[in-house]
Formats: sequence, structure tokens, C-alpha cells
Amino acid sequence: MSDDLHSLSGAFVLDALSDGERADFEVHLGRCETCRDEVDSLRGVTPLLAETVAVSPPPALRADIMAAIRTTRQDPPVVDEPAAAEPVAAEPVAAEPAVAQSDTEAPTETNVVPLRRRVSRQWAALAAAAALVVGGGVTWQVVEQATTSISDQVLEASDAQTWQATTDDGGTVRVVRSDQMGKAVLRVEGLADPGSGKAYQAWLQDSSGSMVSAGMMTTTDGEMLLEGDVEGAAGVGLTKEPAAGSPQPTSAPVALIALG
Amino acid sequence: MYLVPPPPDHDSPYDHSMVDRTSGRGAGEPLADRLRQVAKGDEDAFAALYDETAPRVHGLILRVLRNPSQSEEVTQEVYLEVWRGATRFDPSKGSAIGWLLTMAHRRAVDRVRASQSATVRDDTWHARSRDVAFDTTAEQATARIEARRVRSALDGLTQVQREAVSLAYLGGYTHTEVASLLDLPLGTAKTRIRDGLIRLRDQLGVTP
Repeated sequence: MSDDLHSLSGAFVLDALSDGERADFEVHLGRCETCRDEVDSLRGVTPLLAETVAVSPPPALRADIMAAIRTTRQDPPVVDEPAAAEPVAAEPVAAEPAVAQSDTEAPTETNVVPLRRRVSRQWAALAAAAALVVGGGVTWQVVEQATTSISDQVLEASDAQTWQATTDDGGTVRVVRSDQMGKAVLRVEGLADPGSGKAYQAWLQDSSGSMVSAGMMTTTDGEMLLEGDVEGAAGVGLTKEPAAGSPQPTSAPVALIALG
Repeated sequence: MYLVPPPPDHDSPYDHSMVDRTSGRGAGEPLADRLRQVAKGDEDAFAALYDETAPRVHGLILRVLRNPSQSEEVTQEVYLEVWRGATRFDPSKGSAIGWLLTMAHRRAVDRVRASQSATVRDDTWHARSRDVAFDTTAEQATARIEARRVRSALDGLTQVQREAVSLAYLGGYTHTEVASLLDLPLGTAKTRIRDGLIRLRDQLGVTP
């Protein structure tokens, strides 16, 4: 199993893994220093490969792009702000301190308020709402048992617990967690197309309320192994982000699930 | 997300003498400085960055997607993302060109896989029969000394390694698709890809 994962390093660097393999390998990377070093060193090769296929784009494209950036606002720099949102598990009234705190920091809300701060208010409010709506775990019968990936092992675990939410578009988002394995799988069905250049990104909310990326959900129907500390997570969120991923959520969640 | 090690320790993070020519890595990399300017809204720096990198970015996307108008769309998306997200570039985590090309390749591959059942990949026969020996765009590329060096390193690989690396990176195929295209037993393409990359790394003197 482990040897098998090691051998995926090259394909990982070249984006030649399926979504599931990619998720599994990313988890493996977090634990395997040998693979991290190898991936780091192999990353230096790809820019050189790109040299061999260099082609100048049409001049009109340069003009289009220069015109486009003139009307595009840039993202603010990433700064460490403590406590991005209130913990999901908090009671509804707990949303208030977060709002009040934001207000002290930014007395007047103008269009220069960082999007992140505005989003964190929505997170807090929605988190409180979700805590009321989403119930406890129900056992979810697993049908497919084709392979033995980590995701499948979680789905098949005897202690697997499931939480479920429905998006505004009618899509289904499920979180399946095995406490014995200390891992969780996010499974989505029928999500709306995130749009060109966008993808869904999963987030774990920790007990302090901070949002930490749990990986990219690169499909609208499928599943991924959540990265990060799923045992300590109070909730799981899903937002639309640029396909390359964001360091923090930049849009309101399409789904938010409290893990109770 | 972009896993590369920090540059070697040295006093000034923006010391131009520390640029590593091979990987383009080093905090004093001119492109990294440009990105810092871009992050502050400098349109001239963005134009210069575009001029310096567009052939590689666009060439890579075009090679993966093959469709010129789709490739222009994706190239535009990548540069808009560079403009918006320049603040997220961290020189301690890798080279600027690596950051850009990783984004470009990922987007191209995402586009391919999102429309797998649609027109983009309908030309399976063409994919099978097309040249994978790195020479279709040789004319444009040989002008670059670096490209010639890479080409000669590629010649040092076994044919299977060369084709596997090429189909995966420049063709945008998954390793299982590569196995099928090269009639390799399932599960061996990933090993050929890894062996090929390691050999290229060693021959080209890429230092992490």
C-alpha cells in the first residue's frame, strides 16, 4: 500500500492522478518526508519541460488581458487574523460577538472592507443556522466496494457516521467520518457547475472557529478524503473558489455541516 | 498546495546573485520581484511578466488542449488569476515560473477532464497516432538554449520513459490513460513517469 503510494510521486507532480488518487497521495505527503523531498525536487523539472513547447500567443491576447486586468480588483494580501469565525458548535447567539468584533475593527463598512471579513460574518451566521438545522449522524449503507483506497475504507468503516446537507441548487453534500481511522470523506452529488476557472474547496472549521483548507473538490459528483484534523473539526464547509484554491474562504459557503 | 522547499539560506531575500539558473529558483529571481510589483497593482510590471512568461504558459496550455481558442481562454484565465492572486505568491515556497506553470497546467488539465466526454478528447485516434517525441514545435523552441538542453536530456531517457512523461505532462493524460496509450500493464506507467522525471532531474542538475 505504502510502496504503491510512493510510486505516485512523479504522476502527482505532472497532474496525472485521478482525483481520488490525488487526495490519497496528498494525505500520504503529509506523513512521508521521503515523498515530500522527492516531490519538491521533481517540481523543478516541469518548468524546463514547458520550455520545449513554448509558443508565442497571438498579440491580440496580450491586449485583451491588459484590458481585463485594468477592470479587475486584486485580492488583498493574506494576513494572519485570529478567529476567522465563531465555532460551528456554538449557540445561535454566539454569532453576535463575531459581528461586534468585526465592527470594532472596521467602524464603517465601506467597499474596502476585505471580503474575508465580510465572509466571516456570513460564516458565523450560517454556521449558527446550520447548527440548528443539521441533525446528528445517521448510518449510511455503502454500496460500492471495488477498491481499497483510504476513502473507501472510511466509507466502509464499521463506525462510519454520516452528516448530510442540501445546497440551494438541490445538490447533496455528505460527510462520512470514521473516528477509529481518524479520517473523513466528503461526498457530493449534483452540485452546480462552479463556473470557468472555479472549483469547490472544502474547509474544516476548528474549535476556535478558524477555517482551514481541507482540499479541492474538483468534481460536482464525487468524493474526496478531507485533509487536516478531522477529529478536532467542529464543522465542514464547501465554497466556490478559484480552481487553484484559496488560503481562506472568499465566498459564502454552498454547504456547511456541523459535526456533532 | 504548491510544495517546494525554501531556497538556500542567504542573508538578503532579494539578492540577485543567488538566482539558480537551472530551476529559476532563488528569492532574487527577477520574476519573483516582478510578482511583488504586480501584487501592488503595477500594470507595467504585469505587462513585463506577461512578455517574459506568456510563450511558456500559452505553449504548455496549447500543447495540452490543442484547441487554439480554448487555449487562449485558459491563458487569459491564468493571467487574470496571476493579477488577482499575486499577493499569494510566496518566494520561499518555490520559483515564480514554477508557480505560474503549475497553475497553467492544472487549469488546462482541469479543462480537459471536465469535458472528457465532450469534444476535446474525442480525437482518441489522433492522440494515439500523434507524435509524442517532443518535436512538433521544435522550430519555436530550439531558439531557446534551455530548451535544447532539456531536449538532449530527454534523449537520454528510454523511449517508454520519454513517451510516458510527455503524454502525462504535455498530453495531460492520467497515468492510467498513459498506460493504455502505451500498451503498458496497468500500474506501470506511473513508475515509468517517476523514473523518467528522476532521470531528467539528475541530468539537468535541478536542485531543490
